[in-house]
Amino acid sequence: MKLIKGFQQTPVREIRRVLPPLVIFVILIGITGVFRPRFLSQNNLSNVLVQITPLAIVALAQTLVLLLGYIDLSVGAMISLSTVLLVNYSGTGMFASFRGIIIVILAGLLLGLIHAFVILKTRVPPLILTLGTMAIVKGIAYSIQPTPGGSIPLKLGTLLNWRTGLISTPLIILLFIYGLITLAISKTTWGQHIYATGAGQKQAKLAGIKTERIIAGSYIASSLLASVAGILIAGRIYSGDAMIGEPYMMDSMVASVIGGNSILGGAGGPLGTFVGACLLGTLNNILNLFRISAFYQYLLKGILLLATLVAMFKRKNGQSEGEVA
Amino acid sequence: MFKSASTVKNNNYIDNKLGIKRSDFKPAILIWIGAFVALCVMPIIAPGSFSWSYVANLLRQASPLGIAALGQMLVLLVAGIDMSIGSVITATNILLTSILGGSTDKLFLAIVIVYVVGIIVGLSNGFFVSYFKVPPIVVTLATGALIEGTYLIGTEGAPRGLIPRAFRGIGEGWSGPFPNAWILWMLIAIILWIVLYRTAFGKKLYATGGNKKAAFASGMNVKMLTIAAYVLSSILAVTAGIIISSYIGVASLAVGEEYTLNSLSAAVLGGTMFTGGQGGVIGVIGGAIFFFVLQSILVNLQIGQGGRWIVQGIVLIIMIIIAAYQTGREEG
Repeated sequence: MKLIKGFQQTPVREIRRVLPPLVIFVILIGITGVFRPRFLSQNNLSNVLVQITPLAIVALAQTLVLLLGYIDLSVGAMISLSTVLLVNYSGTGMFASFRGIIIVILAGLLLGLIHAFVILKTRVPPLILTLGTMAIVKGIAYSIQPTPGGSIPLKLGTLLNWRTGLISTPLIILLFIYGLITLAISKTTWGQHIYATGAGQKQAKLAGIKTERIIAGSYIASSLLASVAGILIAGRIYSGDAMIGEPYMMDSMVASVIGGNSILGGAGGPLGTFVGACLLGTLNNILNLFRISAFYQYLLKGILLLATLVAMFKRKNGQSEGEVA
Repeated sequence: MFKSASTVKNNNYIDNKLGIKRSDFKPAILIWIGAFVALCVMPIIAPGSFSWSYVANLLRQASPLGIAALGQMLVLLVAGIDMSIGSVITATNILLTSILGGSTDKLFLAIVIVYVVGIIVGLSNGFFVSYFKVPPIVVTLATGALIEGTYLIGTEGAPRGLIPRAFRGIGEGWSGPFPNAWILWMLIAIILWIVLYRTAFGKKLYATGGNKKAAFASGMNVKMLTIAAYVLSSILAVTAGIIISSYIGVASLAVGEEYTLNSLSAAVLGGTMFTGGQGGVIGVIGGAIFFFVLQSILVNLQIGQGGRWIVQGIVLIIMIIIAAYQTGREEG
């Protein structure tokens, strides 16, 4: 097990990775706070926190897959499907919301299991597999409800929108999920195997790790988390929309990568993802505050993603040279 | 004669060692049968009879997809993927309509500009993929977002502009019994076929995707070849964009969107492998025809957009599972 221990994330490594985005985030907030004091009001901060929860959760889902060096393109479609399912299959009566949530979670689990099954049984590249399932899930969501609308059960809406001060239901769910995944990734053999597989699949296999199972497991977790994010989004818009998840495919990737997670796998963690999600999420809010057209977000996301990847490439090269010396 | 036979054998041996498959006809037969069956089924569902004008009309409409799919194939050959095709097509449409504005005065300028933009996009895709070792899907998604952001800012979300009547012949016009768009598609296909199968560049392109290390070791400029594939893909996407613009005649922000995934489906249906080094022009043409006719059949069966997406996803997954089994069998 010594070999695998080497892959564990030491606090020093984690901080070194997370520090740059964190500094940028703090500077961004500082500048905005000076020019637009309204940004730091408790009301707005609470709003921002609620706004970034779905993004933070999908980004975490994406991170679990990115750690292996793969990408899950179906998370956005899964979010859309979750909102649509919640609106259309919650039913009425006492357990309406309960039933809706169960159905959504089951749908997420089913998608994850389909991914897992195909990955375990065939040698299909997972990336392209999720491209295919993305189209299918999007199609199902659109077939159920082509136009945005409907409404989620009233009680569920009230529950999801409960808040006092900075604390809100989405935030509690977020902290719970992050806590759970952080523990699972840093304290269990499953977590160690994820890092080992991501760092080098062949070597991990030689060390006796069933890498296919690890990959399948990450995809299951990813779809499940995406369905949870979908519930939170449905709670925010109070309705279902077969297209609302679309931007999250890219955003989840951007958030995770600008948080310092390697896109090639093997390095990263939930902390970086959280910082990345905060950075990307508040950026939207700040652009609004400065009255900058929402169209600039596309541009900014593309630039952010490419710039981070280039910066990472440089850093990686520098490090490897240092190690050789 | 003996000598030439042994050369052929030798070529195959090298191809095998490089992990590439350039024989185009065998894998293409199945998809061409499929395309033919789909063409025959179509008149049963849709009103109309099986005639040349009916087939030619379908071919005309399938041309932009066919051209974009050929570009996607080139990128897949070097083990890449181009997710920016849709954005490039929309950008072409927006640029053409806004520069032309209904008159042909600036036609030459407009065409030059759209191709320059396409080449820049292709260069940046290829550059980031080959020099920074970023996964192609991420790079091309990012450049796609960049393009999308740029034209959204430029048009403020409400594009104006028209394609002049005289320019609409490319998408709508006919030369005798053949649609112009289809002629263009075939010309591109023939040129590509010659480039891929009769030049050293073509062989190197396959080798780059088949076995990068071997290609590099045999002295090929793998980075330049990768960049070339992305540039060609963007150029073909621009060409598809010109045909589409000329056909629809107006500016639209949604015109290219579906082409990213559709071109991928068509290329994969035509026997192109995601792992690189395998695929061919003839297969991809068959794939594009099959895919387009399949979509038309679904439309005529009153199946909505959702249903079409589902079918598309299922087709894509079935194809990659078949491909995975084939490679598995050959290796085992």
